[in-house]
Amino acid sequence: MKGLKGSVTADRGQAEAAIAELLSPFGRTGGENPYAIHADLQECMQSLVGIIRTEGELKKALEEISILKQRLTRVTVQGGREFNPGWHLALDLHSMLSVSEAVTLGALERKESRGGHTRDDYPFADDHFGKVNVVLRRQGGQFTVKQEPLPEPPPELKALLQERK
Amino acid sequence: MAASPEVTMRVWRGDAKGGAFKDYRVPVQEGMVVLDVIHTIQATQAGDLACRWNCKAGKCGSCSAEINGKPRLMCMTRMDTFDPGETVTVSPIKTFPLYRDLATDVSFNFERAKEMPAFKPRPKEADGTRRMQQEDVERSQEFRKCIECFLCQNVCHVIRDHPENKRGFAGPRFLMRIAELEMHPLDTNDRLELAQTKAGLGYCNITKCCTEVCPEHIHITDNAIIPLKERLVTEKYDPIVWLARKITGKS
Repeated sequence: MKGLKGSVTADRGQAEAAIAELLSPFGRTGGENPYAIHADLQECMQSLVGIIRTEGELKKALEEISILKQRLTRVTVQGGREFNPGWHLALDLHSMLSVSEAVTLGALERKESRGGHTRDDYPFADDHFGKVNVVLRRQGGQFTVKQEPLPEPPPELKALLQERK
Repeated sequence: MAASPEVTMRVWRGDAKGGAFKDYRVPVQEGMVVLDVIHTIQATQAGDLACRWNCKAGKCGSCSAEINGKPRLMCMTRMDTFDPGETVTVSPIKTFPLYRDLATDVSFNFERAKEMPAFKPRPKEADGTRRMQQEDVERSQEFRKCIECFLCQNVCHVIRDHPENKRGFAGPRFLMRIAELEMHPLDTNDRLELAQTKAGLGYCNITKCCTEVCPEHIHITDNAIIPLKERLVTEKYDPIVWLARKITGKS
């Protein structure tokens, strides 16, 4: 975003496609209830990507999230566009599912336990993961996971970190 | 475990053009509040049921509604306060224009808030500090508890059935705001003129409805509006002060 200069332009076709996408939950009938998808996502993240994580559960969560993404394509809302919480939830679910997927992929990549991230299958902190950030990027709906090196901490901080161990 | 008991919720559905109450049968679990039941209706029966809410803890002032005719916060009204089998009616706050269902346009309040002259402290003393007596500080602390749920504005009979009065009346919440700042020992702005004219302090005939509905239990009438009325009378109608003004020509 820092690289952006001036005003952003979009052609009419792009705008119309975006509007059609946003309004699509109104056009369907007999589909998925956004609140049901939301509740299932909460249950999935709570039980499989919770406080104590394992590889098996994280992989299961990815499968469930992909099913939820499928269900979201069939989401249906009733009523009109003004003050419609069901519609807003249907739109928010896209972001919620993206964030859930990113969290799960990141947790799978971090094969260690540190701070708020606890892996039952890797119970100790790994020095390697102290030196990298796990970075997720998405293009065309597909996430890529990459480890990128962190700048070395200044010596005085490094000394403090060593003492803590 | 026994099946959870059901309750009938009678909820207003409609917009500015019109609408009607609609009944919903909803299972209720122990500890639920009215807002939880509204959320259950949204999730299972009416995804487009409009209502405002944020904190679910009685501190954001968003979920104001009229429950069985009483202005209340939905998140602070427990379902176990109703009789078993009682139909619970939920309608939008009546004093403000309806958007849809339980959501109303409360911008009247924000317009009134803009008219309040801000806090303007007197200059610092020679040693760079400002001193106040603890007693003076405490007087207005109570009013800081206000969460701006606007239930007091909603219930106030001056504007409730008289939208024409909205032009010349700020409502209990903002009369209290004037009182708060007028009582502030450091403030130098004068809001009495505003209280007397545009804020319509004289319209209030202290029926205390605002105090009764305040979820923060602020004594709006006794501690804010009546002292403000007294202050105004002392300033503007005291015969000796009036005479002194006449003679000196100072206002």
